[in-house]
Amino acid sequence: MSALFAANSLGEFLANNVSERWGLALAAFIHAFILINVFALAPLIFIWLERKVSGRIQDRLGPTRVGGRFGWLQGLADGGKLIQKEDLVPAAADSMLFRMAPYIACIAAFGTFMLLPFSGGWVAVASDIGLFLLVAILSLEVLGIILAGYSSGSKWSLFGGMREAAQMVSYEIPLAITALVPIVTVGSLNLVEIAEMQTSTVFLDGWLMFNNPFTFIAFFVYFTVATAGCKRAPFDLAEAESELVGGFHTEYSGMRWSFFFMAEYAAMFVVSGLASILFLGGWNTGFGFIDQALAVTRYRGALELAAIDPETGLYLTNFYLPSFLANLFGMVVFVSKASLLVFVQIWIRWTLPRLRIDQVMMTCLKYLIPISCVLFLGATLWPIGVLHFAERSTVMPFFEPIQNKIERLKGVAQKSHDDAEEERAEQDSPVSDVKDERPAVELAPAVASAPLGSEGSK
Amino acid sequence: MTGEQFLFWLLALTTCGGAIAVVVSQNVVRMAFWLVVALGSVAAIYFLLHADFVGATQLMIYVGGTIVLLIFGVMLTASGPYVKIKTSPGDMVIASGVGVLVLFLLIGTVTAVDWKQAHRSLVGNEHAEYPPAPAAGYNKSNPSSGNTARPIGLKLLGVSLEDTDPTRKDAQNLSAGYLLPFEIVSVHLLVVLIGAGYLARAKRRVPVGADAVVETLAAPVPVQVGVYAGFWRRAAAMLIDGIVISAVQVPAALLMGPLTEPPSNAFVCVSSLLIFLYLAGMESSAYQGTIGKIIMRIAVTDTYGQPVSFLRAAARTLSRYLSGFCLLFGYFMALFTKRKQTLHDLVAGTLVVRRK
Amino acid sequence: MDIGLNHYLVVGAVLFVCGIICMATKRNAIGILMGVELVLNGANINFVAFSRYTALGLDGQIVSLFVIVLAAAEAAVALAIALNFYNNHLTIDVDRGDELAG
Repeated sequence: MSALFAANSLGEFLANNVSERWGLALAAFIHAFILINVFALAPLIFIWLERKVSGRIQDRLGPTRVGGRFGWLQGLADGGKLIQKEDLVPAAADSMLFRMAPYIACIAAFGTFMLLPFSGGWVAVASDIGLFLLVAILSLEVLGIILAGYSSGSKWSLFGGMREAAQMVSYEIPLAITALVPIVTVGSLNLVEIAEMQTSTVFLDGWLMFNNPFTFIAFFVYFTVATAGCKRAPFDLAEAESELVGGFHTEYSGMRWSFFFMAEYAAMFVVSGLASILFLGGWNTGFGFIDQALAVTRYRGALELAAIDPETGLYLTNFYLPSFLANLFGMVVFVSKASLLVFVQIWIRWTLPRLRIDQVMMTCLKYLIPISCVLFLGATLWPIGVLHFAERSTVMPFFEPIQNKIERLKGVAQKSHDDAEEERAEQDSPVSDVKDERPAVELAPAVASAPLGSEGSK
Repeated sequence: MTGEQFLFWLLALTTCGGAIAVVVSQNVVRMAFWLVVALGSVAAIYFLLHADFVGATQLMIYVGGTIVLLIFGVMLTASGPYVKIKTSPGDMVIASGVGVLVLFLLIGTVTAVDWKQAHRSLVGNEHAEYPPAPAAGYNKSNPSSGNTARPIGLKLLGVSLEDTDPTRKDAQNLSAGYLLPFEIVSVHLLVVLIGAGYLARAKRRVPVGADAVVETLAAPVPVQVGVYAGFWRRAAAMLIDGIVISAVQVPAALLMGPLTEPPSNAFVCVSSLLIFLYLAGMESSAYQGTIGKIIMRIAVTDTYGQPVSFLRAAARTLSRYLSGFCLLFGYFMALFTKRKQTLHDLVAGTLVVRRK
Repeated sequence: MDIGLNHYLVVGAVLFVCGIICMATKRNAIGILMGVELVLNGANINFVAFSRYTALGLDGQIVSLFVIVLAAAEAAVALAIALNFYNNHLTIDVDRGDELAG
């Protein structure tokens, strides 16, 4: 078991211990299985939440019966109902594209989970261009919507698809630019690094949202644009039921229809998770003492795993439980932040009336794009200006340069690791046999866990 | 069969299959769908070749951007659903015949080259490893190489991280790199943005008598609505403004120190701000123009002939940079646009007209 | 059989030829545009493959980045022209744009 935790990734472990040839494929399958099964649950929960919140906002109770008092099994009941429905394809539809479209939307939305880290190191693909790739894959969802709109052979759907195309092509620009605003401050596109850098010193001072005035405004712009990007109200013109019956999904029924909604709720969670990583500290709580202790624990865990026996040159595989628990806690923090933002999106939907299509386009092209450009420019100039006038890199109090902070925390982790080593060595020295019993694996040849990557150096 | 081989054959199949399906299908939206398949597989091939940044760019720009744009174009131009413009079979036969010949030519050329030997003679080392280890990518055995994003970014700035590679001693570091092409592409994109918007804009029909209505509206400075200031008159106004500004700026700079030394950053910031306030403030004031414009008897109005607000004047002043960035093309647009507007006029929605 | 440079070059060649045929036979202006995209992608595969399998290094990838960006610009302009063509002719069939033929 400890060999599993010693490997840099699941793929490496399987390649070493199970099969060199199929290890990576097996790891990819396991990742995909976990992601789909855990995060197909997220839409179910959010659909229930949507109904419950909308009920409360409209002074109703919402679902109350299925699964006990709060109707918490309503999502499952809805799903069961949808599976039973007939899968219709209109005679006027282009049947191949019509059948294909929901899958494209769904795959694009769920594919992004591959790149979304849930805690320090808990990510399927830790890519150096994680943010870029995530936004790129998310932008494929629109293809499914457009093809659905076009292939249905209905004018309502066609209008929905056209609106979606125009809206998405426009809204992707401010989305990308505002997502780049915190990147300017951090200097990395790796989502894990971005979140790790937001460890606070005292209270909330590490969060990029509070780093400078431009990132603060950028958060709100990003959230607005992301809401529009998930075609949520008040920007849900592609499916405006008061004008277009059902928009792009007018002709869909049963499971195919529900795929679009799974994709929508998955995308909501992804953009909210991205917001919490980019602006709200990721898996950091914001309390300096907790964050720092957790960060030190995580670094210590990494050191324990990577520790090499000086005699044999093998990886010692000390599984460090506190680090695992710290990561688990980080995941809870991260998921709650993201869910809170999803809740805000639901809240907005049931509070604000829908815009008109020309207003949606005007909001983007006339206001959001210029605002995001100004924010980007400002975020670029801010450090230069602060450096010039105040001779430091930010105006935040208690500030410590990001690199120093991480180095310091890593130093603390290293020290505690070394102390533990010494202690262990002292305990070990009388009985020399103990060391040999410690499980060890061979220095693993480099194999990446990336499903899209190749076989590494072999 | 290793994983790499399996992935390659799978991706080669989907890429080529998608491309052939694009050629064969007659419905243009299906063509777009097959194009998505082909180009998406190309992105995956890039990942297989350790080019993660290029792969992500391909997904983002090609699949997520260009093809959506193409489908949008299809929707705007199709007069009914599933319009098919059939290719005549004769054309198809001739084209495929020629195509297959070209394909065989290409394949023959490619396979005739001994790439191993070519690589070794290029590197100048008879025993160079072939294929060379990937310089970057998902290459975890060499952690310092990392992925391709940073090396590519530095290369665009002119710094090469590959100089540690002994085979590349000739290409020394700190060349200009790709900075100039990068800048040219940026300007090109800006020009394309403006040009595409200009080409595709809806033809705006000015209602008959609109000018007459505007005439009756009171304006503090009597302007001649519809008599637009020409290019040379405006250039002269700019020249006068330049003289006015430097008449203040140069003595101030002299007070700060000798002119031979570069000005301090604070001085540059303050003087840019003052120039901005002068231009935007004067244009939004009751004078409706800077000193140069007053002398040349021209004034800035909005599209209805009314004086402009400070915000609009500020937007106009800031967009002057835009005009300047396109190699001054924005200024020259006054020569041929219908209402003699420059680029910054178009952006801010302003006109420059003659005074009475 | 190990995957080498030749394999990728052949995939690129197939894309290139498909693009050429597409450009030659399609009468829909947007179809022609798709052919151009295929040709450019065929060339791009070559660039990236050479950057992996020869001493070209990252230069090949950078050139392919430029190609991708410029292709997007080209698509935008070409689409604007196609829309203008449609506005004037009420069709997207390029064979109808023959007023200048003597």
